[in-house]
Amino acid sequence: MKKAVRKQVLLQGNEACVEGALMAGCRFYAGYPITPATEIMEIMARKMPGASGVFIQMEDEIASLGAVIGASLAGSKSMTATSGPGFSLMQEHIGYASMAEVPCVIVDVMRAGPSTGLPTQPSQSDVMQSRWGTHGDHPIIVLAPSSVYEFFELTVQAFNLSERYRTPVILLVDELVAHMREGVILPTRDSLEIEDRPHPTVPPEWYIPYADPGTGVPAMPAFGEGYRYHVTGLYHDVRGYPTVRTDEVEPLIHRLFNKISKDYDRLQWFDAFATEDAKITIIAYGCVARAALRAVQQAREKGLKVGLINLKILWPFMRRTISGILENSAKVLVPELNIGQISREVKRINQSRCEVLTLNKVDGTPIKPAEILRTLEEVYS
Amino acid sequence: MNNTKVSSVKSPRYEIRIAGAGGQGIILAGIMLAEAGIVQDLYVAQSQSYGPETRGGNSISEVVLSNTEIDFPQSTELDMLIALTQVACDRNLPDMKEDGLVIVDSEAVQRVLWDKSLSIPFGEIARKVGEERAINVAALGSLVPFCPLIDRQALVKAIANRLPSAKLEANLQAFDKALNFARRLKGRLKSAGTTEEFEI
Repeated sequence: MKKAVRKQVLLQGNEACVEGALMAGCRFYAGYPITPATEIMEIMARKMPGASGVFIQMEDEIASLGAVIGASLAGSKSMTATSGPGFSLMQEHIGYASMAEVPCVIVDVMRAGPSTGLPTQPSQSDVMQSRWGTHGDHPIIVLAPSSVYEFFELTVQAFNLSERYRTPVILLVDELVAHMREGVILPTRDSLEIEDRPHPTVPPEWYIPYADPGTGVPAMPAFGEGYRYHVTGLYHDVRGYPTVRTDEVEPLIHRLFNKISKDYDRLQWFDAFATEDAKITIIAYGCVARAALRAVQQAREKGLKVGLINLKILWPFMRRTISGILENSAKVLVPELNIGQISREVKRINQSRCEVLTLNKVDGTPIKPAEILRTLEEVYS
Repeated sequence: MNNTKVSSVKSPRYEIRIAGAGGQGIILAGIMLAEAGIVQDLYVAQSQSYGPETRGGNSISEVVLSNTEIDFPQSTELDMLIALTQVACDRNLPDMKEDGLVIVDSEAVQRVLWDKSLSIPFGEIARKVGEERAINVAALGSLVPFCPLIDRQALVKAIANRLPSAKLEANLQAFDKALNFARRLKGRLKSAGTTEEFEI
């Protein structure tokens, strides 16, 4: 964050998320309140009417995401926010949005689970749920902010990605980032690049709803514009009607994956800190990356060659970036507020090139810089 | 994205924790303090920790103030602890910096196992000004003579921004009473943090 002429304001992470959503063009919010995500809903309730948008409190999280999908089909950029228990309820509709290719943004402010768990304390234990929570093979994009400003920034990007690829995008946030307040200087709406879903260029009678225009992302009109098509969670043909034809089923699932995977090189979002000569590199995300940043600076002062990669995208996993780290470091340390979820993925792509160490904390409190520093000193050799 | 090189040594940061029970306005106090930091164009980070209940239970609010960008947004070693209950005092002492200052509410906290400490009757001050809930704002007043990064005017401005105007006058009275109290006691502390003088 740069200090500039514009005055900084004190914003909570959840407030910054709402600012980002509104600037990205979100005009529909449906949700059900739950700690520690409730502020997003409260502020949306206050701000949506003034922004000519719609806010609805639904009866539960299943209906919330259902409403969001419906609003998106009707042409509104739409979102919802929840925490673990509600996120579990949303899984079925995440799959539906993925299959029907409906852009939408889901915020999961994680609490420690399982079940109602620890509502008011930080955790990062939904990493795997965000990837594989809904059934079936499906692509998903998951972003993880580590500061209030980044929560703003990545919310804007979540909408951009969901519109660009016509896919649900999940913002996976820990309670610390969601509830803490930092001074930020928000950019103006004009300085942001805002993306919208591809719109059909043909008249309604020529429109083929799921035809691949070459980008892998079919054009999407809003319901009510005169373009008529069928939306289903079943495997469907290019006209949107159910099919079991092998020559239609397989190309569809491949297209769903390829529309995102063709851009993997564009989806390597991270901040690197002192990694060039690092013997040990920390791979972290969310609030843990903030603790790691301090630990790395303290370790450097003591002469230890350590660095940090702060992941902004968790899924699709940034294999390209992480492989480079694994090739150039003797050891990698993955501190997380779970029993080892991203570390599992790091180990999967490691192929024994590098020693992968973990630091897992699951007592409901954040990882402190001193804990990371201690581990670095123990394993540095 | 960017690859930053290691630059400066440790950034000078000032860490304050306000601790008490749920319902005492602990978190609001932290927000007002952080906003005072914004008024002074500092880098600030405010965070909190509380249980699932709305009243009672332990509640803490932390503010980190710095002239440079803040890496870790929570406290590492507290420069100052303001404790409004006995449990809050006992539980948070292990997080103190060695020469940190502990300020407690003299009515609620009888035992302070810390040398560099002040005891101020926040509850009594709040009752005297006729606004029992001003205890959190009184607590903010007591930090002004000791925190080198925050001045009275910035804090008053931040408080005025957050409180309803009908309650403001009583709260500011409590604020100044606690501030004066703290200033008088400051002389008795051997190694108090700042030498700056403040206009009351």
